[in-house]
Amino acid sequence: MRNQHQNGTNHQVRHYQALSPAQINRFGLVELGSSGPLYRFCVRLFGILALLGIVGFMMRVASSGFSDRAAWGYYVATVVFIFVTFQAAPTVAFAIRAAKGHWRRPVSRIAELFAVVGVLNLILLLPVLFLIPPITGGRKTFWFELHWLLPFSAPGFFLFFGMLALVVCGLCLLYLSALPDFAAARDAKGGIYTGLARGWVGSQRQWKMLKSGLNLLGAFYLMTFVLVTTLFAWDVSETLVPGWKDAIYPAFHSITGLQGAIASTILALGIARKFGGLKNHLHMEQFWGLSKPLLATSLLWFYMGWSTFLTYWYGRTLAEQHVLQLLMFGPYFTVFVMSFLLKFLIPLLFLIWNRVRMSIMGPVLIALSILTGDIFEMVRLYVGPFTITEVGHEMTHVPAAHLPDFADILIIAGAISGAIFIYLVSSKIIPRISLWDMKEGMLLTRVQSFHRAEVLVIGKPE
Amino acid sequence: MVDKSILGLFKDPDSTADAVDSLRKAGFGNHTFDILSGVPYPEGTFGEHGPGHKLFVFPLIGAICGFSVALLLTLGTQVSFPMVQGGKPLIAIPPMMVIMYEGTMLGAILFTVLGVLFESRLPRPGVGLYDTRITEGFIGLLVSCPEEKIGAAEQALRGAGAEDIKTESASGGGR
Repeated sequence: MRNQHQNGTNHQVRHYQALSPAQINRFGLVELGSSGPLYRFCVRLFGILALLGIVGFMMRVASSGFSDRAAWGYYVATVVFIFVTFQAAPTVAFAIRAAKGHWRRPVSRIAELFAVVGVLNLILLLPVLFLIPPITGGRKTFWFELHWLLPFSAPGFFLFFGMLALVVCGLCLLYLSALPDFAAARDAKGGIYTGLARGWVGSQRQWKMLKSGLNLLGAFYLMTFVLVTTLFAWDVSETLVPGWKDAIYPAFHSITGLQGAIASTILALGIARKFGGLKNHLHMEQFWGLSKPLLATSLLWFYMGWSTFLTYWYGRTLAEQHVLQLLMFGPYFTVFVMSFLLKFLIPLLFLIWNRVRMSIMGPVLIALSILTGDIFEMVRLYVGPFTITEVGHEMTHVPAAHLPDFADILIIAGAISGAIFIYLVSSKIIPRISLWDMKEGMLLTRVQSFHRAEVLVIGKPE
Repeated sequence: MVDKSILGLFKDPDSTADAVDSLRKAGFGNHTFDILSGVPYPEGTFGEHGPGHKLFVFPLIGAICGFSVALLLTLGTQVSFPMVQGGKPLIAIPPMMVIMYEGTMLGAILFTVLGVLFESRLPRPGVGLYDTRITEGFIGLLVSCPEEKIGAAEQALRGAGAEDIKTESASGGGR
């Protein structure tokens, strides 16, 4: 039921709905569990696009094989795009859970659900392992070789190992978070949920373990994410470019990932609110809460990029000039400008305004801008380096821009659609709102009079 | 002697807390009863004793195992197949640290999951004495005791205002 006291109070009180656990169960398990025509249409659409992506992949293999590295630049850029956006999103769930923000309750599961996309990206990563050149032949690298053990080069093994750890961690995090909801679904529906709930009964011990486990796994996810993004930065772009020796680059890449994580979460929240039946649970405070770190990461993205640029611009050796040409002012200048506009300038110019931050549509549109910018950014950082065949300490020339062909477009659309497809299908099995989190929120929240206003009083037992 | 179980269902935390007090007065120790809920109530809400655990030992052991395996892998690789890269020493610590970090993380993650499952006493083949109303907002107070004390437990639960009481025989030991 809607709160009756509407006068002279803040937005949180106006939107507060006192729901019983049974009402929350019914909403999460029955209303959200039903599939409307729009959902079915989206699943079919993205499923077909994902199949077209497989066609594009086959075309790429048939036309280029794995020996022509340049032909795979857009494929690699797509894999990293999915990594720094969708696969990064569970870090948001951990951060806001650790901060103990009450507003995060309807947000956590939507961010955690992105962990399922990791399974797809782990599969998509496999061809990349064969595309990373061996460390022999004069290529500068960090690693020792493991060719005696593996069919692909040593850096590939370490990248795969890190990604595997991240995917396992993400799935465990999601499963653990959903365990009490599986138990609620078991009690209401039975079926596959009986197996998924694994005998969960909600004892005090189980709740304590669940909360501690979520904190630990969330921290490990963030720590592993930073490592894997560093490995992508080192082994799949930086060391392919002779003369690119930048210690800031992995940190810059991590910030790109954190910005992409927040943007993905905000966009998913916006879609879930508009089309996913969560209008009564997602309000301005969720978007407002996330728009502040989105602005902060946008500023950090510029700061880190500027630091890289300035060092190279000031050094101005031939090798440094070539690196700047490749990444910023040469054949990919348009891509760089688009990335700069969409990932920094537009977010900055709009998010500095309270009216934009304190809205729903504002952060959603900015998130869309950032995610579009991320596609350009990954093209800039990965397609260019994949065209370089030189080894040694500096480039002698900057190759021309490598434009996408039909197979590349199919691959980009197919891979991103595949990620969305997996997310949509998973959201039907795993409630896309954390039921136990919502129930706990109800338990700890009261509307009380404060002089002539009504305020929301939130208990914080920890 | 085999313990029997009895489950009292309560509508609100206050009556559950009263039942916990009554059980204590009737001589039931902290380890003989457990509170089941569909919501994580703050620790101590019912005056219950907080469960002890050793969860944090699990990731530590996992991290040590993962670190050790990664150390052996990197050392073993470089010693067994010596190949000098870029003038770096054969046993080069900086790249080894990255692998050891990965191994440490993977070990800690896997052992954390094992720790959560072990400390939560999961997975279980069934739910034992349980009621589906618990996920709908009811609070269950599950007492396990020798058969001759079941009557005293039931009396304590009823006295505190239990909405319903289930025993293993009445519910078939299941849901």
